[in-house]
Amino acid sequence: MDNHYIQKILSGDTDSFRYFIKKYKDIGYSLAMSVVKDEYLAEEVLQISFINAFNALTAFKGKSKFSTWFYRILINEAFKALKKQGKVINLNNEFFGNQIPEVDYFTLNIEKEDQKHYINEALKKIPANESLALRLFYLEECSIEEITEITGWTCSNIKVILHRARIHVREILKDCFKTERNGLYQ
Amino acid sequence: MKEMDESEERYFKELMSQSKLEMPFSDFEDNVMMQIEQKIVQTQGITRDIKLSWLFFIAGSVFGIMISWILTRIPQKILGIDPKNLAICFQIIFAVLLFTQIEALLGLLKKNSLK
Repeated sequence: MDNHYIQKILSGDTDSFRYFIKKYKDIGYSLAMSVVKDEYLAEEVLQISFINAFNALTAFKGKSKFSTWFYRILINEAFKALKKQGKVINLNNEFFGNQIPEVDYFTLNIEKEDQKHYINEALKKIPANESLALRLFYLEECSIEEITEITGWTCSNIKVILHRARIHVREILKDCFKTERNGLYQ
Repeated sequence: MKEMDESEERYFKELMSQSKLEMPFSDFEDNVMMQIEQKIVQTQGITRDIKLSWLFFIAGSVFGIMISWILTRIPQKILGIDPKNLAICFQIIFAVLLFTQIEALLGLLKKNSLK
């Protein structure tokens, strides 16, 4: 389907690009938010990425999926924006320390409707590379190889990032529950 | 242990499936399309200007070569100056202008193709 619309755009039908905007705006926004953690900046990054993708469409050879190609543009743009803002990009972020939380955090029952809120709050708090890896792996269901292609990180690095990310999310969710429950019983 | 890992992984997957955010700006699509259309108009304008620049460059070069050729064939002095000296001065200025303009045009062409 993507290829059909690419051909239409390349033959001069600019309006067909709306198909890609509609299809990728939410996931693109989620990925941009993973990196920049600010909704206005994420919107700006996504806008620039769509425009860059449109301009570079002739260079898209179809060797990879359009989504992989687009996410690569998006993530480059997001990290560029982050760098511009002077925020440090640390692939081996250790701000949570090295302690590994106990496993039974996941036995906590989170109400279905609260899941969305808690997980997005947790993803906002963890480092950019970790939330990005989590969203690509679990939400977009990208393979490790695809994540390598999108981000340029090595396979082993991605596995380490995913492992740390899971630990950090557990830790944050546990803290959230402590705060919420304490608040409820006070 | 493995069973626990699998159930944990399943739980995590379920949790992460809730992490998709929705674009909060309703005019996003129209904004992007408007910017793309503006960019197209701008690019078309630049392409037209580059074409015109090449046209005037070629016309100027032909004109310059003609003047240079005519100057070397004038037998009498012009305003008391030997036409051969005048031709040399003209050719130096012409060569400098020719090379700087070629460089500028090629630079513009390269910059435009990279956009």
